[in-house]
Amino acid sequence: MKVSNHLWKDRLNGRIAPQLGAEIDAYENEIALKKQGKLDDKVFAEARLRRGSYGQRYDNGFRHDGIERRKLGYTTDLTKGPGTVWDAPGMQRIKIPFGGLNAEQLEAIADLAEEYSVGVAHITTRQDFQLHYIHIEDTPTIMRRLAAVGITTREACGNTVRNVTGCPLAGVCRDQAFDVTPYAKALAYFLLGHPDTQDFGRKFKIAFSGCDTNPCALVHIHDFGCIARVREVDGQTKRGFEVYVGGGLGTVPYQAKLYDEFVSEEELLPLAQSMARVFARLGEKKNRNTARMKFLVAKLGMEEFKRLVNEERAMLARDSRWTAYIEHVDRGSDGPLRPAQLLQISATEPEDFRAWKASNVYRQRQFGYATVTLTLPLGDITSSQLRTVATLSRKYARETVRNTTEQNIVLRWVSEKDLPALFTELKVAHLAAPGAGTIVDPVACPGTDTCKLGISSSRGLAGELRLRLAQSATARQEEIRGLHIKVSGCFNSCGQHHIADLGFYGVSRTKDGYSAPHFQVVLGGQWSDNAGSYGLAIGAIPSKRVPEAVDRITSRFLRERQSDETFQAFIRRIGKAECKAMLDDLTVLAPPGQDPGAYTDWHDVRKYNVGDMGTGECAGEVVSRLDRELAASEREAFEAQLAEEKGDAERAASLAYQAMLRGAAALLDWRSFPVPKNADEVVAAFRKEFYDTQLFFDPFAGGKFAQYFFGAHTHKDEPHTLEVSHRLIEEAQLFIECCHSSTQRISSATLA
Amino acid sequence: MQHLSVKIFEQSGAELNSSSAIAVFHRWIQRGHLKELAIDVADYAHIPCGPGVILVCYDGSYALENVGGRYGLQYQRKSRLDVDHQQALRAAYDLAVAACQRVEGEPEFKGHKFDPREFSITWNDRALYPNTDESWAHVQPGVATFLDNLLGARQYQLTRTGEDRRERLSAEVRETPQGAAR
Ligand code: SF4
Repeated sequence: MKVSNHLWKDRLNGRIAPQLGAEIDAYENEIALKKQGKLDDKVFAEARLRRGSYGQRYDNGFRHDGIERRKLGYTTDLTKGPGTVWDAPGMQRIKIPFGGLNAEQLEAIADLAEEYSVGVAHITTRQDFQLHYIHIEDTPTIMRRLAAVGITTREACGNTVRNVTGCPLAGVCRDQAFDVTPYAKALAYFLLGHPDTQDFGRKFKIAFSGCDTNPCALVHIHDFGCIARVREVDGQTKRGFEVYVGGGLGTVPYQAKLYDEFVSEEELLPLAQSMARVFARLGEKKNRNTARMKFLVAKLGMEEFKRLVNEERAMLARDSRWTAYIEHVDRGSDGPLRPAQLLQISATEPEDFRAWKASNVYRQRQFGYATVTLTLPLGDITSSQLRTVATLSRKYARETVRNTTEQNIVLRWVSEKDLPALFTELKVAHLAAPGAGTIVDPVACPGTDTCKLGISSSRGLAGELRLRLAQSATARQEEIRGLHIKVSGCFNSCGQHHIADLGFYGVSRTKDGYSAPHFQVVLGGQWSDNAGSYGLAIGAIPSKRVPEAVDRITSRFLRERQSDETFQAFIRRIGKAECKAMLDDLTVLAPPGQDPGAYTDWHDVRKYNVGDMGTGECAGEVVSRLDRELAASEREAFEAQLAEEKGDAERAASLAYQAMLRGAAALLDWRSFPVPKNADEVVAAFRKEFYDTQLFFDPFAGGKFAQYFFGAHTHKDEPHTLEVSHRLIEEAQLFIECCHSSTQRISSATLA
Repeated sequence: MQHLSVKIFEQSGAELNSSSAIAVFHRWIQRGHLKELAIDVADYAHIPCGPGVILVCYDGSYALENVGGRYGLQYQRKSRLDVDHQQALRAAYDLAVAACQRVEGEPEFKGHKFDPREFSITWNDRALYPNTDESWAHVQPGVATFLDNLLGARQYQLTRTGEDRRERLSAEVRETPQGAAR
């Protein structure tokens, strides 16, 4: 903790908006009260999460060092949430609406990263910044220093409206209907701290996109997604939005559904407010696993949901903020600093400049200007690089910088003529790597590096793929370069693996009592059309063999691609069975004696473990039987996918349900409980032995996966649409994953 | 003096391999090599000329890094230290030197050499030590006394760095040929 924290309050006096200052003071008081033992753990945890102060891996005070699970010797017993040690480093999330930043803000974040973290700021897939290894007592000062440059961390985490995302190209994009920036900004600040958004059961995510074909804002994975539209109304051109609701990734991805083809700009804010009121009033509060907007929309049905929203809308008292900003929207969100001039194409252009220009420079709709992308490895940027970006944004543009959902930074409004000079300066700062948004620029969530829920090292894998693909001749081919890789450390999909051409999420598997990191391969998700469709899991591969899998898949695509076939079309054409067959040998986990490397994770020498599992003498034969049964249920889940692919919704649903039933029976058998013949009895026994005892509870998702099984059993005799069967398949896969992980947890608890 | 960082430069110029750094730091944790509470190993080796691999401890952190394109070992004090200037500098410096010696003794880093007479000091707190001439004038006498004791009076060159005033207050120390010949 910094000695100087107390100095900042006076020093920044007058530079912080009074409301923000008061909120930070209140938070600081909560910290003081917590230290005095006068605030409940859960209450304090909620308070800090609302302000973006998150926990970090090992903050329960224990860490497995590869030999044994050890208690970290913090000297205080104080906690900052249930099971969260006060002194353990945490993460501070910094909300950057639509990713928009100016130079002063970049410099402030650079200073904070240096003084309170490790000199690195991390950009997330929601265009936020995250700082890691932060002490809780430094957070009020961090918030003050951010507030002084117009940034708030309020509602960066918790059950709130999260960072409102938007196309980083908004305003300069050649395909946009209009610039969505002012609308995103108005909505973000209108809902921030609004009384109607303070009582949600879960988070609420909003995105704005200027068109429906490009992927920049990923509207379809949001609770509330807006696509810019213009319409002729009474001979006048009107601006508005096509609005989608109830999308989300998470454990089971949901595509947002069309709510309204055209919501006028005047109605945008009141509509969002009305929806927030319905969500707060009727959204699930107790069970966080079914509390997202998507479940409410599914439960109510779109018609009833609309009726309720309209009812709320009719009751709202007019608020001048709904429309006050609209008169300014035509001024544009930003503009140029230097005169527009075209770049003269030269035959002697250096090769590195040419490669960078091809992938990292976007010609704006405004003649003579370009937007430049800075490729950040794994979304990381150092303090000194941030300062360089600030300097260059002042020199070449009017401080027009944005974070992107692909964890990069763009600098807008660069006069084309300045590109060579800018490139030279970026090179000095190691910010001129080519390949932005291509296969060599994978997206990854924090995973096991810092996230408490990480199962496998997403950053380790993504880092390794970056290095290997940069050297790969296959990856240099035009057809392959444009593919997207996205990696999540667990099923929660913060790395957005569902919408990647090649997606991966962390799981674990056990052999001979030893755990090994794996990744589920998810193929054929769609990044374009605002995250138009989701991929499905093919199978789990040991982490260390994933690069081989990538190589195999991309080489085959290159070889067998028909004319201008897309990757998604190719995957659909060869089918999931063939995809699985292509990777089958890679799924095999060799025994620890034969391949010890498979039992460590990328860039980590520790023996891999989940939940601090000991290495042990798990009863080999019994585990083998369990493994066999779980493999069989995985097979059934896969067959369900094949049935779905053929359009047979009923068979797909039935197989998905059977897969779960088999998994449940396998667990009962493994724990030596009698396995009933009848499905009702299996469900009842499973509920009694694994659900009521919470043995099957995931540390993060609680009983959610068991509930999938119970739900599938309850509705098994009802007719199934393809959409429902698709969801059942996703649920079955997660249920089986939970069978694997809960056996590991139970084994390790027994050994301890 | 609070929140000091000391970076001892690696002399051979050879790359400090990040995989080796990861292995070594994990081993230090496993074997309890440090008196401090070590928390985790953070890998930032993918950032060119960046913080490399960091051993994150509660009171401070150790990094085998390449900031500014020069390899070295940096110790950065994070928590408060209730001692005077001399002792604070001494504490940070000694921890950095001890870590360098330990790294030199690791088989993965055979051949690497850290010279404890060539290092940088950074004051990692802009409220207490802004990067200004006044601030430099304030800390310089304390640093000089420390260096006189360490290297001998007038046997070293102390240069203020961080010309970009947005950076932190910092300085580099290099033993002069006279000092080296002692
Ligand atoms: S996907 Fe999982 S591991 Fe990655 S950040 Fe989200 S919760 Fe953590």
